[in-house]
Amino acid sequence: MGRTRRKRARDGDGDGEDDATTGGLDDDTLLHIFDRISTRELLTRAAFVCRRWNRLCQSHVREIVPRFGDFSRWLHSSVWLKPKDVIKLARKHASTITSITFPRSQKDAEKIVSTVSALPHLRHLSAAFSDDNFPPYLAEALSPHLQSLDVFSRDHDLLGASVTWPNGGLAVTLKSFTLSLTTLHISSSDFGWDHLNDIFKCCSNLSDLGVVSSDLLILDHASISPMPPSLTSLRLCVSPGISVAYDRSAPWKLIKDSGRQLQALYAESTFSGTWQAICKACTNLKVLDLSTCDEVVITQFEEKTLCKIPFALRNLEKVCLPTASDNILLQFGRFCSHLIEFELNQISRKTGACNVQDKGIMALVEGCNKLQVMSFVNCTITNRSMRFIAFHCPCLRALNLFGCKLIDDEAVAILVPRLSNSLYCLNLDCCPRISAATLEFFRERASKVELLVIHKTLHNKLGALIKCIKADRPLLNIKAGAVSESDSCVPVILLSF
Amino acid sequence: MVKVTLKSAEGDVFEVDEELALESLMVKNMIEDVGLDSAISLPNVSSTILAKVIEYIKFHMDAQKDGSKKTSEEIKAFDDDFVNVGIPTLFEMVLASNYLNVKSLLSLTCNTVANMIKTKPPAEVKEMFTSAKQAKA
Repeated sequence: MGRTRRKRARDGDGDGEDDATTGGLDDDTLLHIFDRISTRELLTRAAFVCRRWNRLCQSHVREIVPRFGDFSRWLHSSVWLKPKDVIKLARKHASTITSITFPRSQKDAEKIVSTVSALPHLRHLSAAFSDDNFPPYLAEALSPHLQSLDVFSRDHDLLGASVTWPNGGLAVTLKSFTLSLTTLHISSSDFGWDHLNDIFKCCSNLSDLGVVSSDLLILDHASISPMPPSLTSLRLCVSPGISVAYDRSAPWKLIKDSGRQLQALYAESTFSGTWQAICKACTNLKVLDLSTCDEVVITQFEEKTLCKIPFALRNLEKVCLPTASDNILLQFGRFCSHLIEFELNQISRKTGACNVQDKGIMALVEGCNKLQVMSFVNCTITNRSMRFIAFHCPCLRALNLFGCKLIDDEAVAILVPRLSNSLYCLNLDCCPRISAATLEFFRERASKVELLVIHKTLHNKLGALIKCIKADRPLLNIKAGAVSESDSCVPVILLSF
Repeated sequence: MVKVTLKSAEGDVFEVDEELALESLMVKNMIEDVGLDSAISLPNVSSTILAKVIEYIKFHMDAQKDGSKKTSEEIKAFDDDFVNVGIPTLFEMVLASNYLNVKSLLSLTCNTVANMIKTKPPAEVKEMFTSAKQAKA
């Protein structure tokens, strides 16, 4: 079909695509390129290039990802598509869909199974079920080409809820596609080290494994099989947000033997023993997640241990810490010049603000000028930090300043002009000094910012102004934050990258 | 070693090892259909692009051979350098690899273009594609 269309568009026989943006490429080849772009990007960017691209994009939706870019985890779940809508879209594009993500789906388990069974080309499935309605026939419904299976979600909606895998279900489920499977994320109440051994033995192409199970707490199992050599990303948790202790028996043996092959480790832990074990064994890590939902009270001992991480793991590109201090940031600035993402997501009402001040931020950004994503939740930083960031991080794409009480409208005026070519997402939720002036600034000045999160109260108060801005700047989304001031609960910001 | 003769759009003749030529599924089909006696003409591929495609296949075949000392970093560096060309050339390589049906090169070049589209706003994408067309014409 490609070649005839190309000819027609060139001859200009009036099919409305005469001025088509082709660069000399035919439809066939363009579709090869579109294959590699997500639906969200196809429909929000590529579709606006010209009429021909619009037609191609619309007719070629292959993935359904009900999320907002990479930064969904900073947002309230209301921006997701509802499960109903996902199912509708999936039915419409059943013959081509390769990847599907269901948001919270407590009630629709049966519907999900019937939807999934109608997708012959499914490669990636991600869905969340509650304890009592895990669909027993899910395994049979899946396509034999399945490469990635995620039946727990790292998202905060699921904290506390776990998926029960039916008895014997795991072996049966995995048997049909052990070789094709590269990503496996499961959560179960009775998944022990024996099961983990089985997975290591039979899934020889596995590269990303995540398990949440309370049975991993039972550590008296002596023999543990080595990881398959393809495995590069690991997450073993006893409950959501709490990892196994890597300094004890089986987990320690596991990372001692083959920790070097790991590039990503998600170990949400408050034990400094675990931190030390990781520094010793997993020297090639690029991604390290130590965030946790538990309270961390930082003492000199913990600070000392965290200070050693950057020295031991110099290749780190993405890191998420449970807590930090100026000294820790200083060490990261000294040794980890490859850092792309740095996150500090600890939200704690008990211990109050995080002990990070302008001095620490300055040391970090001076050393790491490739930073693209930064999150400093509840830090006592001021506009001075914004100057350092604006000056040293020309590639910054996303900045999360949730709960930074000292940040005011001037911060935006410092950041946005300087980072106008890169900054894409800015979270100013729970910053009480941010006012209407910030919004006015965005109204007057064109920028690349597409996502701005402000406090709920401010969002409600300035509804009219936001509507005006929406009309002037159609690309800018202004969202209300997840919590209002009266909320007593601690909002959990997602713990994963 | 059996040689295969390939003829580009300009009529330039390239003589390559059969093993190398078979990496292109299109050439492989042609050889199966018409045999090795006559030159295989590729009217949709210019000499410069054909030379680049051959360079790419050759490098990757050498890298896969036993005893090759190339690390994955070196291969990645070669790939990055290989697609670090002007947009018109890049597009011609996409077209050529699609036409010649060289899967690895197609995925490399398409990924490069896709990344460009992903990181640019629509207006810039349009400009990029239009200028590529003009440069070609």
